[in-house]
Amino acid sequence: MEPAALRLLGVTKYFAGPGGVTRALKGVEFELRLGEFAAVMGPSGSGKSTLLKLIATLETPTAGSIEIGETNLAALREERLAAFRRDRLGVVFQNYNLIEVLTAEENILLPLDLAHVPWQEEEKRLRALSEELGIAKVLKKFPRDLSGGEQQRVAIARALITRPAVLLADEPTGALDSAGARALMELFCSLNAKNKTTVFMATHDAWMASYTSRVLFLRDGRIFNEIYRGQRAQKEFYEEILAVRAALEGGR
Amino acid sequence: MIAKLAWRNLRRQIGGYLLYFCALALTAALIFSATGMLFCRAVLAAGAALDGFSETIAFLTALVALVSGAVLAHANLFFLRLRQREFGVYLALGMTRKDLRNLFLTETLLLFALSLVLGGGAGFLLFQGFLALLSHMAALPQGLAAYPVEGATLAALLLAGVYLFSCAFSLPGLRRVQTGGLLQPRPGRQAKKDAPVRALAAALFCLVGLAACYFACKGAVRRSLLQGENGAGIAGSLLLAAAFLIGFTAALAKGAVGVLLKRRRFCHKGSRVFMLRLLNERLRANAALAGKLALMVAVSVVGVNVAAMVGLSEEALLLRRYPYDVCVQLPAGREDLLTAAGELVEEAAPVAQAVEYTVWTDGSDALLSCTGWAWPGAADACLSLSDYNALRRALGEPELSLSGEYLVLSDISQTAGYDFSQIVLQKNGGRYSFAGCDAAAPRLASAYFLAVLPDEAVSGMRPAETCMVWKLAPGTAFDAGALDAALRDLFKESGAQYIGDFAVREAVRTSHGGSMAILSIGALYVSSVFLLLALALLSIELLGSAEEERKSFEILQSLGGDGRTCARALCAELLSFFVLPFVLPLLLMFPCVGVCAVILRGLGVPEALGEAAFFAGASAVLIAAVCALYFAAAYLAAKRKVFGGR
Ligand SMILES: Nc1ncnc2c1ncn2[C@@H]1O[C@H](COP(=O)(O)OP(=O)(O)OP(=O)(O)O)[C@@H](O)[C@H]1O
Ligand SMILES: [Mg+2]
Repeated sequence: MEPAALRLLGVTKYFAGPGGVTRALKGVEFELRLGEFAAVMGPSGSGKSTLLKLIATLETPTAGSIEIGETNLAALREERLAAFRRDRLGVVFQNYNLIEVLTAEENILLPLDLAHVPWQEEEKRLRALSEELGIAKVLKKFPRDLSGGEQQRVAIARALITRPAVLLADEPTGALDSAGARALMELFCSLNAKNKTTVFMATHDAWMASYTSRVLFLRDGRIFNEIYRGQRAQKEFYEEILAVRAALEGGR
Repeated sequence: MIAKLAWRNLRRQIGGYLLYFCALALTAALIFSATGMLFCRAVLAAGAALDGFSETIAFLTALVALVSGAVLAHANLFFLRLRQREFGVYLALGMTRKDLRNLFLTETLLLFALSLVLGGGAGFLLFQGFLALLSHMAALPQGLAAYPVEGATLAALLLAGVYLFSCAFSLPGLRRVQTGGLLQPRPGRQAKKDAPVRALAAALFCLVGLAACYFACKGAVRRSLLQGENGAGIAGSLLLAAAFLIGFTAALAKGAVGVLLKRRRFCHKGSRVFMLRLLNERLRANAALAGKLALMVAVSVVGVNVAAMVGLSEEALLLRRYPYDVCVQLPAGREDLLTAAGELVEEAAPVAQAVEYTVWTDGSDALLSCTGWAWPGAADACLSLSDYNALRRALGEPELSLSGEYLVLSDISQTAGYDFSQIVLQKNGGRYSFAGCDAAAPRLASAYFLAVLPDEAVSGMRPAETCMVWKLAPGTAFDAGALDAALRDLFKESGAQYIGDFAVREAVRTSHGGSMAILSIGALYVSSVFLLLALALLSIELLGSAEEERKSFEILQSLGGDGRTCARALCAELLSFFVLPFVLPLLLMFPCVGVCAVILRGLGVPEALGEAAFFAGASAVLIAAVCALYFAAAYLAAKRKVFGGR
């Protein structure tokens, strides 16, 4: 069995706001194997984004611990955490989060710049990745001049350029049409198969979730259920996901 | 309802743009203090000594009101643009356009009332400060003065005018608010063509133009000093320089970063490309503003320099032109008046030295006829060398000797422009050739023109005037005004007929000090207002886009930029943007000193140049320090806006 790429133990997150405390996550525990492709689903407000932000080290848990590879995130101070995030994690957000004032190329290379990677190496990686993602022609354009799909692929290139061990995606297909969404999921699958990148994504869409090998269900900040695809066909897995989701929503 | 909403909005905005509102309140305070001086009894009482003071201050106040009106209008438009979405939401929620207008007007009115209260309070303090400065420079009686009601009323009216103007200017902007704008996630920035190289070339051209203006201005100043040319050349070159300065700053803002961004290897290091792109965006969007700011700061720098130079040259000129504490000049035969004057001087203060001398004439006009101011029946006035040496001894200057030569002595600067070298004077059988001309001689009388001749040449002439100069014991304080008045009374006795002339240096200082104070205070007033307004404009620009940049910085952090990297990028970006409209204007201090040198040399007081340069440097440092402080505050505020809440 593969070693763990990601381990969460009793992860709890409270938000203190003006309207009282929101319990976004309550004791979430699970492990992802190295090279696993998993999704998390759940109704709106169930804590998916919060979970991803915690793993992406953009928030710190109120209680519990998160380990990525051999590293316990709680042990890292701010600067080390930023370096860790830069070198080991790739993050793709629903609204792409491209920096408006930077060209596509500059957006993609920014994590490498921050890591002070030499220019030759930067160019080499950029060329390889942009060919693979089919964005070589749009590198000089600004995000506002790109189509939604191109923007998404640029965002993915930016997440992958550091060759992260874990790729996190929060509703990556949210702004794509169904053909674009399918292409993206196939890209994730091939990345996962070829580079052994661990991919963890949050989604609303059962069909997108069915591309993965494992789906976690979140409700009210707790893991409600999880199912594995095993050797089943995608269609079969899709139907099970729909069934679990119905149970999840019916149980409210 | 509207009032409550307006008050809430205002409070929120003041929280976010505290620096801008501080600068605004200070400007109001400056207007208050200036109008206060217009109506202050203590200032008006000194009327004679402060000729032109009221007019200058009134003119400057009108100028300041105009500029602040323009700044306020700009700021209003800026805020409206920032709040397009907010107003759109109000419209969508069912407010009518009329409600919107009322809301906006109520907010502006509240702001006006607030600045009236704050500005009035701070203006009172500033008023006392200006008054203290004025009384120090013009030797007016010191002390707290009551703030005149008329002044406050006028200031309030002026401010009301400024606000009305800015409202009228920005209301059309309100009409453009639409709910449709809500559907677009952000107003689409139209992609402007980036042509950094062309912009840099334009900047270079403007720089060359600036240099040319400097030399033109220097030449014009020199000509107006020596040949009495009018100030059109100076004004023209200054206006042109202003245009070039705006052009240079704007072009630099457009091009400088773009050129850096073309160098990919240089850019792709750390957060450099991120910082440069943000900066480029900001600069290109605000290029015209940067130009205007540069002009405002330049006006401020030049104003301070003018104030310093006027003060320095006046003092140096005074000491040079009036080396004796008192001098008296009487027609021959009025020795009785001379004795009486001597008694008055001795009564007023202990005398260290008194020198009596005689001005002779033989009726010839050989020298005067060379000048442009000879009149029929005019005769050259002569001074014997021994008298002249006695006068020089009193000043501690070395004695001169003349053999077969004569000197031309005058306090009229144009004298230097006439050629006496061909003129040989024949006196008492001797021939005397021209030895030199001192066109900036110490003041013995007003507008004199004398030939200094060896004693034997003068003997036999008839006396034209008997004169006397006094040096008082150093460090004694005496009532110069009273002595001046007493001498005036003494000389007045026989009506219109020419009796004589006199001068009391300390009394001259007071009246000159008045004009100096006017210029200095006026220049300082304009300087501080322009600087304040420039800073106010800059801070709303800095803080206004902070919200927009917040997202970019959040992304940078999510990509692995640590807190230090982000803070450094923000600081570098803001600083570069902040510095651009300040560096060149502050460097303008050097050409200012250059022009000062021409003026001081033309006035015959080159020794004041060192001090003028020192003042220019010190004022530049002071302005830079004010700006640095202001930048620090603006940076902290922007940092809170960009990184706040995490
Ligand atoms: N910064 C925050 N401050 C306060 N409360 C927060 C914050 N972020 C999230 N929450 C709360 O935590 C809960 C979980 O939010 P989260 O964004 O994780 O939901 P989600 O599952 O991603 O929902 P969606 O599917 O709509 O994106 C919500 O109740 C939300 O209001
Ligand atoms: Mg979410």
